[in-house]
Amino acid sequence: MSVVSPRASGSTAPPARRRSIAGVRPVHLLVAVATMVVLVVALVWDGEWRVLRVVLTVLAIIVAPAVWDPQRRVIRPATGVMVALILLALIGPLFTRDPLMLNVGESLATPGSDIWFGTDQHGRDIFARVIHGARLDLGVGFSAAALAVIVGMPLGALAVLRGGLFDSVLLRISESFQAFPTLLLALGIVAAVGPSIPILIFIIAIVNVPVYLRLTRSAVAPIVNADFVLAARCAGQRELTILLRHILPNVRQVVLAQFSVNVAWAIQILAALSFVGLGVPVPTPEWGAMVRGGYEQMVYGRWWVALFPGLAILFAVLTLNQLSDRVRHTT
Amino acid sequence: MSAADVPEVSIPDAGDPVAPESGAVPVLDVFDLTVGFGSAAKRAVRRSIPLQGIHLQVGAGERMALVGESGSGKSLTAAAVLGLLPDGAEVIRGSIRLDGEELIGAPERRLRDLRGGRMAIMFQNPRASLNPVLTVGGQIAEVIRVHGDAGRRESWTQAVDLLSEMGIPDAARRAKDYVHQYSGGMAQRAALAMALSCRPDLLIADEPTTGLDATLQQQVLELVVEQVTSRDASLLLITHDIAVARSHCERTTVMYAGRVMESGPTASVTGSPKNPYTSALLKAFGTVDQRRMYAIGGVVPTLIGELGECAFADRCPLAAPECREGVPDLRSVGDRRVACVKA
Repeated sequence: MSVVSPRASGSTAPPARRRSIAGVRPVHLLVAVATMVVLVVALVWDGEWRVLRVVLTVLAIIVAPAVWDPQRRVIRPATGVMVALILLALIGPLFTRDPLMLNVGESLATPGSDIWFGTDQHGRDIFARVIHGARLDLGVGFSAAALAVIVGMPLGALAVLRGGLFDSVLLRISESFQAFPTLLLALGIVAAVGPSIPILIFIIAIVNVPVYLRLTRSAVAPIVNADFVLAARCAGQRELTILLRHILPNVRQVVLAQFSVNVAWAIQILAALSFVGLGVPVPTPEWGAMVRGGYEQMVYGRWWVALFPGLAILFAVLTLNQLSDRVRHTT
Repeated sequence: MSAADVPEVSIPDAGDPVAPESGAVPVLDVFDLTVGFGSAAKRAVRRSIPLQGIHLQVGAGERMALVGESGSGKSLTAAAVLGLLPDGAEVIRGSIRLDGEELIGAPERRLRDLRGGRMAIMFQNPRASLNPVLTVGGQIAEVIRVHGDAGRRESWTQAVDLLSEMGIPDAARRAKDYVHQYSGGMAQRAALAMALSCRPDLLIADEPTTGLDATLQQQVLELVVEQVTSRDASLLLITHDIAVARSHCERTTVMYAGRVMESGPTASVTGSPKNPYTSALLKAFGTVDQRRMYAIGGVVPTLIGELGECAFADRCPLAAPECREGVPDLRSVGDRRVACVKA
């Protein structure tokens, strides 16, 4: 045979081979960990709504594939509404009146050209409160759902990869969480540590972790032995890289679809908690709490106090459900 | 390869008549590879032994065909070489060397470096072996980055170059596409680009053309051979099609029931087979003017427990009492090695 042996030509081979290291660069992990740390620290130590702004921005990036259609190069319509809603929540409050300002002289004013949504029994501007409430409700909804994804998704994938005892123990734990009534759990925790926004996010996230765990688990199971995973393994990729780069992106679509439904659900839960008095502390503008404050007024014909925050909840939840539908069908 | 390297097992002839250049270390050297399924406690009684004493050598720059019917252990041999045996399977004995380096018992870290770096594989179904949610170019670039220190941009450029070398038109644009936008032939070209991206010494092609139509099969095979040759790499082509072996590989190894039956230059193995199984296989391959297709009588033996006789004895037209006295050794006969007492 006249062919030169590859060993003989070994000196011309790229020197890179010797130093071949990881697939995932440590930088990626560092960024992910740093993001989570920043998120958690900020959530716990929240002064002014800065955290929620960060969370929303990060999530806007995560949700980007649902927003932008690269094939047709357009913004997806259902998403447009969502983006508008998020923008409204982010910058809207800058242009409204003070949602906390009491004005007893103008209490329970009817909606009009001057005060669009009217005022409540303390004379606070309902329009301002609804807009400020958007920031809180969407913020809590998104961050709770995001926290649940961040914890639930890797756990679900790990359950499949490890299998055996690890899988069953994890599933039994998640089942016991799911079996526990959400409101009762919230009641217990709030009674123990007192109501605050980080605690509410934590509660809603914990309740949702099992949802993502099971979802990811069932989505990962059929592809964990797919040819392209084997091919990646044959190409010398590390298990962690295979999980992060090859398996989880294939699950992204289902998780994203679940995510937006979940945000809607989180908003409802938050509203429900506030309605029964377990939600945000009193003067804070929050949709559920506003409905609670307004429903007594309904009897006296002052429909606007509860109606507008109620409509806001409806609108946000509907938009998120639409978005979820979009994601499921187009990604 | 000499018998002194592996003292536990003796090989009948130390002098290797099939080594392409005597003294040169073969790129791939599989020696007495035996793989079992099931726990060792059940050994010898209920344990399934899908590979029993496989000997296989692929020299530098050589193209070797691994031929055999379904279930003969061709793909399992490839999996063992890559160190990716399925769950429950384990190597009972034997050795696998890549460029003289022992792979059995090598740490996972080292194997990972070798996989995709010095040995690569392409599979039967190219569409399934590419990730549907990553761009084709991105996947190739990723493999390049794993095995080297090329940056993002550099690895992308290399990936695009590779794709265009493999005959993908407008590679710079197509590299950004996903697998579902590729045709079957293009996907297989991309899979080849990925396999060759790190200049492996050994390319294992596991029935690379099974899913393609006849004209494409020819094109893809020619491309594989051309690219492997131009890179001075060796090729282990797994196929059940003897015609493919005949037209593309200089040497052929015939497997049956987890054993090597015959191995040698393709022309002599397929031209004047010395093992009755090889002759039967060639006969079954048939010609157009045959009135009835020839089929080998009987069935493949079960692979439970180590078989103490020739695996083909039950179906062999030349079977004699001595065929059942023990597993026939892989002996040198002329220019090749044959596992048959009659040869």
